[in-house]
Amino acid sequence: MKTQRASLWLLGTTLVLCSVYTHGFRRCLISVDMNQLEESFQEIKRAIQTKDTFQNITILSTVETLQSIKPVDVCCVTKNLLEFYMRRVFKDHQELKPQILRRISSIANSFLYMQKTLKQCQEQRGCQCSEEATNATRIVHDNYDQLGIPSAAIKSLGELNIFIAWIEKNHQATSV
Amino acid sequence: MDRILHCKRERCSSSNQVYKQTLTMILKGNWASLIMWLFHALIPCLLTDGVAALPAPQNLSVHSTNMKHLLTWSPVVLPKETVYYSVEYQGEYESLYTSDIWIPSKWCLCTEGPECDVTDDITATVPYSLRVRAILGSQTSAWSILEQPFNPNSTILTPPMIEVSQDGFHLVIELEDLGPQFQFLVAYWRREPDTKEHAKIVRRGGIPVHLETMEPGAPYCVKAQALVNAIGRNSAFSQTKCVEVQGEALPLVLALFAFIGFMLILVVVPLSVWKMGRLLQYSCCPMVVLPDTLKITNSPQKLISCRREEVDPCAMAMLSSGLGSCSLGKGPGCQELASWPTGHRTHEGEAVFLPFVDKGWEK
Repeated sequence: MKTQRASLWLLGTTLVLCSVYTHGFRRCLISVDMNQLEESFQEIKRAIQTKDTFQNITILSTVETLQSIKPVDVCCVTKNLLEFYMRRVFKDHQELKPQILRRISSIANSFLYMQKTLKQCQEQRGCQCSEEATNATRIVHDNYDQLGIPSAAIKSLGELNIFIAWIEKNHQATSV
Repeated sequence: MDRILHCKRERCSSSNQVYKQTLTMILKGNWASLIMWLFHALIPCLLTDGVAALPAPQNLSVHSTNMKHLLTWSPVVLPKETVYYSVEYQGEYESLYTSDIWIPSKWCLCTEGPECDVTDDITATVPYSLRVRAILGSQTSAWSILEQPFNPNSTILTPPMIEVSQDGFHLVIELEDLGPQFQFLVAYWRREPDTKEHAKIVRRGGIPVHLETMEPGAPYCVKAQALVNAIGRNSAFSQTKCVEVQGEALPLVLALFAFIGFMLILVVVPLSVWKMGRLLQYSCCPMVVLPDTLKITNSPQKLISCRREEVDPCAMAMLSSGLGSCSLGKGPGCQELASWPTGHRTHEGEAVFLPFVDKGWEK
């Protein structure tokens, strides 16, 4: 009788923990055509990256910042980074060439659509910002401020592929 | 790569437009420069005093089918003049964050027709504002803006064109190529009662896709709908198209006959064989069983009725060879007769088969 009770209790706890874990782990999916985003970026990559004069500095570092984000922080970090690009990067960058301006506009508007679709999902799931998530965002902003406009804007534009790949990994149904 | 297009008439170049706008932004804080710019911009207006202003194009509207967006407007008609048009757009991002930036359209920087394919400009699923103005030489009209911003999710999705064919026994479908934003949901089933409908996602149109290997006997039917993930909408299903394979197998009735025939053969043949066997047995090699009394054996003594003792002794004596004189009395006994070889002939030429003489001999 005692062992039965104990095993039932254990099972119950495991189920509760599992549901909590998976609830935190469940991703908000977006139906943006990521291929088109990547294509848009590829078309302007060379033009943007040649203008980037600070080769050894990074704003969205692949090794430290983005890759170390835990699944539970993904929601907050996505929200913050989208805001970062929309409010700072795209706005600060002054583009004269129409062909590059078109691609940047395409990416910016896709980000806006992403923001809208994620907002609903995030409100439902409760997008809580942990300390780590807030720290990661702050690092990105600090790096940006350090570099200064217009170099920071150009560098951030040049690192769009990193951000796009990260979004794809965390918000697409087809990715693992 | 986009080239900076120049209209056939003089001053219709896109570069001027963008540089002007950006210059405006950069010099925002600088009033003196702004005044200078305004002055330069107004010179053409001052000089062309007296010439009627070029009317702006009217009735702007967007017709969108299957994610191909076409902006149309009423043309500005001037006698003996070719009027050109310039199209610019602004996504929701620009209208929210950088509202004075208008982006020149990729294909319609300087276009003749009163329409413009803005598909390559409208890339995200957000509302886009569009504006058009007429250009005649150095004159440009005022901008005419689309009343309601256009969102590509309001596009009309038509059922896709499908071609269903058979490659031997394979069911093959080819869908129309609607571009990379389109995927297709293909439903197919065998037209028979109680069969399940199958579904398959086809990622690109324009190439033949194998659905299933068909079996003869019933037609296979196919229908498809277009899916656009970017706007989260589907088209209606296309019309159903069916194909059927003609099989090498016999039709059902013939198969039934064949089965019955086979069963008959299975039953009738052994029966007739058995019957024939019996017949043959009786006709050529009958198993006749003689009664015991009629059997010829080596010991005639068994057959002789020893009670036939009334035989004429003299006849018996004459017949016997070497038996001496005729003696009255009983004929040769059984034992004596037994000593005679069968078929013994007397000189009279009569075969002696005393045991086989019919009963009439008996006196």
